[in-house]
Amino acid sequence: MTRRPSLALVLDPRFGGGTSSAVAREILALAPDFDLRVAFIESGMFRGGRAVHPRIVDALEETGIGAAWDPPVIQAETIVLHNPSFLKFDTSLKSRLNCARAVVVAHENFLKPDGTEGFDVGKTLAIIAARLPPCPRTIAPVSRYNRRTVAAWLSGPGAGTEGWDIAPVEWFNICDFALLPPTASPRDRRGRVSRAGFEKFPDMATMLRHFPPHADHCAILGADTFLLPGVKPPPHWALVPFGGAEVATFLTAIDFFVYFTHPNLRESFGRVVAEAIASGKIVITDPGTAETFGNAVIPSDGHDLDQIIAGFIAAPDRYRAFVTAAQQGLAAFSADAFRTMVCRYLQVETRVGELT
Amino acid sequence: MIHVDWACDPMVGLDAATVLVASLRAAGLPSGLVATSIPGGLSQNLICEAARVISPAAISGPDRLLVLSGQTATDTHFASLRRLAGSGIGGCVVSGRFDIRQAEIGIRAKFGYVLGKEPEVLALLDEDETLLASSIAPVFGVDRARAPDADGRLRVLLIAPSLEAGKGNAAFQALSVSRKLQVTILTDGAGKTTLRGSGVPLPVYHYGEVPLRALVARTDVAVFCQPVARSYAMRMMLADCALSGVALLDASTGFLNRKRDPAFIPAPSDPAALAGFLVAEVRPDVGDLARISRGSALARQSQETLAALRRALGERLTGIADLSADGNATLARPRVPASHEATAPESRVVFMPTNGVGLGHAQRCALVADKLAQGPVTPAFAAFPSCMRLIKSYGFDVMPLVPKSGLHAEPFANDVVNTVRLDHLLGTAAAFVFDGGHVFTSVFRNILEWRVPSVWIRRGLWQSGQDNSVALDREKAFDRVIVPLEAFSELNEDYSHGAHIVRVGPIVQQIDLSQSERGAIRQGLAARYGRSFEHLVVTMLGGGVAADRSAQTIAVAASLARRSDALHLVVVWPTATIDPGLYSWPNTRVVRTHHASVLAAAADLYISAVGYNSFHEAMYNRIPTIFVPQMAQYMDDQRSRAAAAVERDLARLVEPQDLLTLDRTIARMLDAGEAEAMRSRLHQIDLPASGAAAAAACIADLAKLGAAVPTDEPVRRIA
Repeated sequence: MTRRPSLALVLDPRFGGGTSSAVAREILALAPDFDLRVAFIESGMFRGGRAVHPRIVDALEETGIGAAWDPPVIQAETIVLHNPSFLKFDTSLKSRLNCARAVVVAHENFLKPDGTEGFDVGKTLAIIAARLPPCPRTIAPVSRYNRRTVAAWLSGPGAGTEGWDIAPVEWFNICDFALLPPTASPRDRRGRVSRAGFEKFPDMATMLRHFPPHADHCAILGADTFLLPGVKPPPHWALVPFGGAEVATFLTAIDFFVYFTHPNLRESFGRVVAEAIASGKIVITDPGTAETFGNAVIPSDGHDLDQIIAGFIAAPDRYRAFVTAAQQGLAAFSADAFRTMVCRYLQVETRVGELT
Repeated sequence: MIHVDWACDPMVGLDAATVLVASLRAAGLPSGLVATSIPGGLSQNLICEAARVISPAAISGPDRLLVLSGQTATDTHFASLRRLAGSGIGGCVVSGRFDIRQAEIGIRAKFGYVLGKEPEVLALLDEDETLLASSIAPVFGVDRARAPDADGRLRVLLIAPSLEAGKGNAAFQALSVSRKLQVTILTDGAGKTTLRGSGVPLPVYHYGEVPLRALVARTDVAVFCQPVARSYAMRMMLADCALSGVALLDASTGFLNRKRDPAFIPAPSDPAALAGFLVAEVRPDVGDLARISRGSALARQSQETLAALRRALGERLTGIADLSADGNATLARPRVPASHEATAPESRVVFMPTNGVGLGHAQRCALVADKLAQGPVTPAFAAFPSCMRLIKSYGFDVMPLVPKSGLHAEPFANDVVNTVRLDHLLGTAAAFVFDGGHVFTSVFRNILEWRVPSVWIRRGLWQSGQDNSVALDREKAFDRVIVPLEAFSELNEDYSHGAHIVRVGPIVQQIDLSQSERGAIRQGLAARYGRSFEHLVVTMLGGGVAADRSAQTIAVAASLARRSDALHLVVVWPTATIDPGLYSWPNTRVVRTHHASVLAAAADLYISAVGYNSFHEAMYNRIPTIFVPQMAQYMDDQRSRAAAAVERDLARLVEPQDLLTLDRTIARMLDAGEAEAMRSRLHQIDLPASGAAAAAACIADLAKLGAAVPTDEPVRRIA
């Protein structure tokens, strides 16, 4: 029996959004092929104890893998550190990283659309580099758009001298959500899901255009900023705070997933988009976010939503056909596809079937 | 326009923002507070200060938003900013203390997401790193254009001296009598209470009492007795001092300020030794010390900070520069009406009479203003509605003030509005004259803020036992206190001392009626009321706020109803409330007028309260009078005033409750010839010369407007 190569996943498991969900899926996906270790870092980004994201807890239980907080040494042939931005408030990393190869999965865009830094990238990479031995170190983007921001940063004046290179693969999020059939009679029921935060929303005028009074239903999950004291959101919006409803349940009340962020924020991957597709919805989003999903979503500048939606309502068959094709497209983000990508990139023989 | 908002604790932020806005305006940058960010429950001092500097309009177009303490912004604050920014702003500057670069990146991004564009970030220095640093807002100074003390004294501001009860009183006493030093103390509330309790007659301010910048303008030497406090206001004051050439002395134990910045000159911490040091060592070289301050690293740093703020605000790009074009935009408030500008506002003297029980304060101010108007002075008034008609009858413009009302949310709400109105008036005034017993916060703060030459016309004869300590404490804001004397010398008492106290004769409206004029008035009354009379009795007992005088007035009406030879006029101010029962008495008529003095002068008998004006008009216009005193707790001592005349057999005194005595006294006065005999005695007494002209001359001299035209001629009236 061949020895399984060791691989350590390193992260702060308290991320509330896509990072934790993605890593939870990775644990399940990589466990068969790797001697998998998981190390948690208690960074300065989060306060209030060591509450691990429940999906990660579930994944560890399912695989029987243990995890330690801030071990003095994290040792594996390959160390994969997820989302370096969790170190942006720290000055050092407690754990020493002992590996032959280091991969930092970007998760967040290094640069915003206006070209300014999304976080203190140089500092976080320097913190990591300071704890690494002299080994190959790469940054793996999570999407093509994310790649462009990483590449631009690496070629810019802020890049350090720690020898970071960009990985040739996209370390994408595993999107193996259960697929639900599309509705047979779509209506103008619009909704969106995101973390709370001003960056996740365009300005109020744009939001009103995207979720107008003439729509049959407008629902927003993650609407915390519209629920703050003194804010007077339009009365026709059904607002739910982040965590206030199960995403799957929330999505049953809409037929069109309308997802636009602030113009100076671009999703690095867009996991929620994949979740909406899997739930049988048509997704309309900005061209940048749409790029990751190809023909599975409808790119828009946000000014033609009414026409797009009216067109699908008038042609239910086209609605169903579009959603079905989109769901098939999600296979590109399956666990198998991910395992294949990782094994090829790390030149590891997979134990689960053939590489696809 | 720069709209200033703050993300930190609402009170702390507002405190800093008001200081900042005032300095921005002084530096030529039109700015104001974001009104919606001002919390409730403010002290009167703080809300008055804030009211002056609120943004006059909502944020729009090319306006800039300056957010203080940006590092503390919460989602709730961001939500309010999103509303505030509305359809867009010209730009945003966030000032804050960012310990790490990520904090700045994060804040920059969040503001960008909320406002639609990323802000300029003004990173603040650590408060421990430099004395001109704050975690809330940039610290910079403005040259407060100090004028030298007119008497050549060294003006010393003693900041946070040790004021433990009983300790150092002798030294402070010595400082208070120095002819070479004028010492002002700045301390906390407890320190002020302690010092005032000790009786040491030094002007003392607590930190929130006035804007500290106002003190800088009156200071040659600032003595820091403790390490410079971290408060934003104090650090801005230090910057003001450096820019204004105020000598900086460090009297802290261990010279801790000197260790942090060489701009400080070491000084003794013992107040006794300090007095000698100031006279012997500092006073001769204060010019050099001023140059040291202006050339210090503190001054340079202050200028650099302001320059950085200007750059961040991008004032040269758009918007802000446009507002500066008219030269008046630094105040960021409505312009003075064109008609006023045409009358050379620099010659305008603003009078503000308070509204007492009657209109005595307004009457007195009008008399003085009338004298001033005969010279190169344009009097204008700020007055309560009850006084406006009287003042307008003299031909003066009046800005209305808001009186107290039980319907206001706060007992001082009216004074907040008045603060703003006075602020608009005093910026272009040559002098300000206040007449009243209680110096309102609006008056006190505006005088200090505008440094306008100021006069307090303070009538005397306070009742024994009255606590006028607050009013007297605010005397320190005035350049002159004009005390109109009582006609009878035993009534005059000194409540404070100093070269700024100016005593003048009674300020009284003298009605010089000839026999024919008096006869004409009486004939006119007979014609008007359709009845002839032998005796004209005028009753003016006051009332309203102080007491209900219906019983006494009706008693007079009843007494005179039995006669067929009398016309009884009950004279009230036009705004007074009248008991309807008065109208049913035969021989009695109610007259609402501002011309009570003329009617009284034409009367055979005057039945009056004993206010300063009523009393002196009775004496100076030789009117036989029965005085019925009002003795509300907050009023002057009317009984003593009446008694002084009674002792000279120049009047009668009837206590308010002695209604039968009142009836008998009226009968004796009219039927036993007592009234006419009294009139003869009144014509024979010598009274001090009227003080209106002297008061006018004092005001004109202070305002450097040349001598007013003193005259003893009866004053003119246009109505």
